[in-house]
Amino acid sequence: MATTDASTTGSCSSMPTSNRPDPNTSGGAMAGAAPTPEKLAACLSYLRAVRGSATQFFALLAQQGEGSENLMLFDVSTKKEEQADTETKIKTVLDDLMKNVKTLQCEVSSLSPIVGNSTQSNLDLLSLDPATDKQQLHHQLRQCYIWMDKVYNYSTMSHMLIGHSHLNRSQMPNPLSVSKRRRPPAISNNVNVPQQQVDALILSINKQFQDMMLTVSRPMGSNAIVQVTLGQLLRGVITLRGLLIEAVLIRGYNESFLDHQGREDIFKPSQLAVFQRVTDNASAAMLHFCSPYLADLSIRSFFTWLHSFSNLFTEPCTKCNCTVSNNSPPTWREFRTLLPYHQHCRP
Amino acid sequence: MGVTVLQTFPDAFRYGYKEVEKLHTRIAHLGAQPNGVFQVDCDTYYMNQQNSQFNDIPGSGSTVNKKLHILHNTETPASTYAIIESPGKQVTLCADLMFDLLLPRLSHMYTAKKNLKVETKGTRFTVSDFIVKIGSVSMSSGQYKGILVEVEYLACSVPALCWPILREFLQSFMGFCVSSQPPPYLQARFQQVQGPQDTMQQYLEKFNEFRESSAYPVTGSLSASQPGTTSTSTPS
Repeated sequence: MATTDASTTGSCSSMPTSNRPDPNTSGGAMAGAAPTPEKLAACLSYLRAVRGSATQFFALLAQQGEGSENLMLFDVSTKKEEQADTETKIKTVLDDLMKNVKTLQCEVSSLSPIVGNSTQSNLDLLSLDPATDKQQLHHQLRQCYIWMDKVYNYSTMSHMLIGHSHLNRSQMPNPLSVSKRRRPPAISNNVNVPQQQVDALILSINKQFQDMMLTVSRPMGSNAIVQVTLGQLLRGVITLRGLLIEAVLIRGYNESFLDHQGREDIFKPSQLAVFQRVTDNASAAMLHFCSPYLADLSIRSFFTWLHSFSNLFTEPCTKCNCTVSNNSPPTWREFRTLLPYHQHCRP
Repeated sequence: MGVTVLQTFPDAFRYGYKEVEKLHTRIAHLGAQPNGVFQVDCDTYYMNQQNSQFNDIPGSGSTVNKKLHILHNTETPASTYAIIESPGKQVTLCADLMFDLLLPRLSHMYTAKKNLKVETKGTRFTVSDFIVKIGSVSMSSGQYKGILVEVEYLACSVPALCWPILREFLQSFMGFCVSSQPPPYLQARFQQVQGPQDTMQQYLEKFNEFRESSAYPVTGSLSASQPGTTSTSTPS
């Protein structure tokens, strides 16, 4: 250990002497300014000089100890001379050390502190990771960022170039595509809508149809369950997820809508064949009208379609002109015209 | 409980059993499945003469003959229906079956007319959401009176909302003996929700019609009609 210390001390002590005159002058001039790499390097060299002189001092003290043991064996007269010599040596080394410390202090005080860590990005922090196996990461990540920037630049340039040239796939003007472009930006988030919006929509539909009563309840969290009562004809349970219809169940007016625990039963199907068919058709209509971009319109369309069942047992089939066929009324309604048809009379 | 319509099937020649079989065949063509038997009976009690002062109409001086009908229906086996009938008014009481045990205690008020007991028996069919009961009506003496068909549509409980489908279904196996107009009883309660008591009142109405028709003596032999009644009452 002593040998390595001595070697390092020797190499370190030589460096500060060469660098010393420059930083002293520049450090005073740049006091309060942002730390430059040169200044930091000068500070580090002063630190090394301090360490070097300190090591020299301790080595001298150690030598002094060893010398005193030896002196015990030799003549006592030479003892005083030796002591005075070592004292002067120690004094010079100590002066040197004090001078170095003062210079370092002066230099460090001239460095302005770094204002926060915000200037350092995560990439810089990664570079400071002392683990040797992770030092490569900084380089790789930097390369990645460089390539990302390149790709982004190229894509921007290509987009500009392609956007200027009006080369469409179809040369004919397409009115549909124009209308699609004119539409407001799509609302992609139809699942997480505020409860007030759902309530307002259901209320407006409730006002639209006089003989259809809609009741909103939330027995299972934020998602609403709409109970529909169409005259004295049928009842329906419509499970919503946000503004999207998730499930539809239609039952007879007489059938119970509560399960054995007294809550809304949203799973038990109807016991009557007619309403089982209506449920199937309502599920098909739900999928037909489903439009994730215009959710409120799809709900309105669905309820308009459901309202057309108000004449379920009275209106004859449009095709066969009979009310009963296969012991069942016309349980299918055309999606656009809302005309009644039997299951097997569908156009 | 859906809407129930009672319809008399014309049997002018008193074939009885044959006509019922014909109806069974027709309803089987519609895909009906026999689903047990049914029976509706009606006992009639008259108010005793010594209590007739309760029946006086104030001011008019005339007495009104009040009747008490006790009906049972196998569709609602735990219930007894008591209908007090006075001109222009009917009071229906739906009670437990124990009500029958109370009646002997009312013997000082009401007297049973045994020969007026009438019942209809037959097979019960299920077709999709329809329940069809084809029964032959007979008096307690075994006298055959006619055929009564009950059709109940379970999916709807208001006559106004489902009369077209009921009419069309009745006509599909009974032919044009079914009027396009709803029966007077339903017409009076066209917008009301129907219950089991409405069914029993319709039965009483029909039973009264059959009783009144007995004023004309039936010449057909009882032995010819009797097998029809007994055969329909047994499950096939």
